[in-house]
Amino acid sequence: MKPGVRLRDMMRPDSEPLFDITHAALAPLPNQNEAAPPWKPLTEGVRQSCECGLDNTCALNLPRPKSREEEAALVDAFVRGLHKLFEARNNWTFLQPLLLSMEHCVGCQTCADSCHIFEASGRAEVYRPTFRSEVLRRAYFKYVKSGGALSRMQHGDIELSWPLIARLAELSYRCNLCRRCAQSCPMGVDNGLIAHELRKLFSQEMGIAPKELHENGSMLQLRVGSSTGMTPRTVKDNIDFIDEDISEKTGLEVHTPWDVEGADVLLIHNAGEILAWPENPGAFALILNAAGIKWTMSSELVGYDSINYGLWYDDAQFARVALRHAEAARRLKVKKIVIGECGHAHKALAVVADRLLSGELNIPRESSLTLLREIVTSGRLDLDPARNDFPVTLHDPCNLVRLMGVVEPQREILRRIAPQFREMTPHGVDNYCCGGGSGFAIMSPNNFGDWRAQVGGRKKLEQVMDAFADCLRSGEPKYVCAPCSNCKGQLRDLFAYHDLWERFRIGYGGLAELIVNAMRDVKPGFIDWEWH
Amino acid sequence: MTLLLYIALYAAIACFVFGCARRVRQYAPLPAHLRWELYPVPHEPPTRIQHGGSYFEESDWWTKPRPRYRAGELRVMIAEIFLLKSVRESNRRLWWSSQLFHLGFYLCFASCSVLIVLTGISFAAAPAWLEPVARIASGFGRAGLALTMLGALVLLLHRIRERELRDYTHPADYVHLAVIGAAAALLLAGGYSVSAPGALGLIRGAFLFDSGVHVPVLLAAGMLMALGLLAYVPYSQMAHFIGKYFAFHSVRWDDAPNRQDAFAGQISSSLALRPTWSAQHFGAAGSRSWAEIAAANPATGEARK
Repeated sequence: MKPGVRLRDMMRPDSEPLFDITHAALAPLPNQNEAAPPWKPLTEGVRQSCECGLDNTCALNLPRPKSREEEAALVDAFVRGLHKLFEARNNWTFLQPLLLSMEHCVGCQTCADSCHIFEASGRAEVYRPTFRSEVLRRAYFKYVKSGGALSRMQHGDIELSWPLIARLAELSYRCNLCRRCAQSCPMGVDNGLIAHELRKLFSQEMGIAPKELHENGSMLQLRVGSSTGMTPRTVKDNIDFIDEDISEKTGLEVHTPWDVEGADVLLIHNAGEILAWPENPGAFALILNAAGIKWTMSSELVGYDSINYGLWYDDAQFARVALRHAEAARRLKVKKIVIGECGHAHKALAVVADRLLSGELNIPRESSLTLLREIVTSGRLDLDPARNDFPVTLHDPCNLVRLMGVVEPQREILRRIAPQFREMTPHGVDNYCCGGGSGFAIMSPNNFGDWRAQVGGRKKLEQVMDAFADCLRSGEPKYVCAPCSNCKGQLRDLFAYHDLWERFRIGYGGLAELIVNAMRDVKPGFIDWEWH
Repeated sequence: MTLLLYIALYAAIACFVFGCARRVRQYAPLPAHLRWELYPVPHEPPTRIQHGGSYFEESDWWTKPRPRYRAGELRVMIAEIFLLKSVRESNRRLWWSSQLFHLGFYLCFASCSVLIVLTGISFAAAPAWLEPVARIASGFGRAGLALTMLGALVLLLHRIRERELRDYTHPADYVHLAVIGAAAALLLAGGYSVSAPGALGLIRGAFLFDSGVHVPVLLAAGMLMALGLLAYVPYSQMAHFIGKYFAFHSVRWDDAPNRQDAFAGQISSSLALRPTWSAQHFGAAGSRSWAEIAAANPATGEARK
């Protein structure tokens, strides 16, 4: 246990960081002989104008209040929001889970070793799963329950001030919401949920949220149809281009159907795939057509982008996007919605939105992985596993696996099409987050990218290198299959940061691409290693 | 003095029952929340529970029966309650003392339950096996007290000596452990006093309010401490067994899908609530319902109207 930050330090009146992350403190990595890339310091401008009082990064760019009055107003707003978080009218969506997590932690720290961020940081105290929970818990008992002397004895004391609240806002974005800690808690306390609820308080009451998730995320999606900025027209143009490109590359005619009424399947991709990994939607189109599925995509506003960033920070934004997804399916009268390779989109639409969608909007929703499994195992595709005869490992997206229970379909496929498939340790529902969860994959303000690559993704990096330990320096290409758009975004940045392709020939990609790569009637070499 | 003890006993039991019922009433009627389950969910079929899978692994899952394997839940609950499975697997260092501590409680509870039943039998008849069984039950009770005392002591030392525990331990937590340990020690020592009544005699006296039962000071002090604790438990974190029940059954394992709009009634009343969140994009201001807010689009200015 390292000496250092204590909970009372959160109440420090200054805005100086509580601690600096140093390379020396971070958990060691296997095969890391070279020095880690330097951590870009925060600029003086950011340090002067923004609240950077937690650690040596800054995710929110929260402006510093200009006066005592402004500070006091922000503290009042936080206290107001704190009360609302525990009222049924304001937070019926998660009130019961939140109360249960607030009132029953026994402080045993069983959760601590489950957290990849805490472990990777060299056990930095502020990243301990119970650290931020303890701050909120003390505030709850003091300000919401109006606890007196006995309550202070039972639950501890805290004094809310702007520096503490600003640190807490940043701290709510040092958790991937992977909920691995909740899985190990003997009481059922969910520190991930507590981080989620804190984010909601900041967003729904104070209008504080990362620009990437709110302005450039859910607001942009509700305005133009996609958080990528693609309008219905541009998405169709881009898909046309992908169809052409994939047809040329594979030698098979690929055509994506749009707005087909009464189709069996409405496929909704994370639109980030269309721009960043076009081979994934292309592979899907090719597979579904080859399997004879009657499917369609929707050009309805929001209906072509399964992203739902509200899941991570704001219930209203979450519900708005989920309703629009269901509405797009209702208009097309499809039989089911199939969610593309995107973990958070799965959890948002299939799980969390489930009880919100009733009547005509309660259209069955299914994972693309089960559909792909059905296609692959039914023999509708002529597959040659020898085409995938290179080392393959599987990353389990938390939202799909631990939080939704879709564990085996992707494995059944890989066991059929990838002869050198090997598991990471641990895997399945015990997996580690890639470090990009809860929106981090698209967040790189200031030096947050350094934090993601050196702290958030460190455990995954270790797992990937361990999975390929037997062939790490063999020179053959190795494939990390990540059936999730956000995870791929994180792996892209993580692998580039640590130079994994150059050093070890480790690349990454989706599951659909591997299937197409194994199809006999497709020109060999669908996977483009160098491109990544 | 003895009558006072009896009064304290019944008052403590009443406080405990009332406090627990109050806690249950605090959580049970809360509105249905959005799904937030965590896998593995133990009522899935054994074929899926092995890898932690869910019904989402099946194609067209909504057309298929969804059997719930209660035995799976029971197995996990037993392992959690009696063997502290999560702590054993993820925090082995703390598990030993925690296991001793809880096992001690369970033994005390089991011993008391058996002794109460035996007392009830003794009112109707006095079979020859009653005294020997009562002695065995008392023996288990004493073993339970010893384990509780030892567990409390070791847990207290962990919390005092280890910073990662100390930083998250509140003054009341130390007091709880110290009082539990002291009460167990006093009960144990008091029970061995020459003049101590047998367990059956004491329980019988409590049923009949028999002031003739002599309770030695040491035992009386232990009983008063234990009864004080019993009355206080539901108003402290020590009532985590109630929270744990709801956390597991109503959150972690609550994977019931909204088939045939099973949740429509509950959710529609929540959607009619009028939130007061202040952020502009939320568009609440206390005048719009959740349903109206979800239907509005803040990006086109609708939420601000």
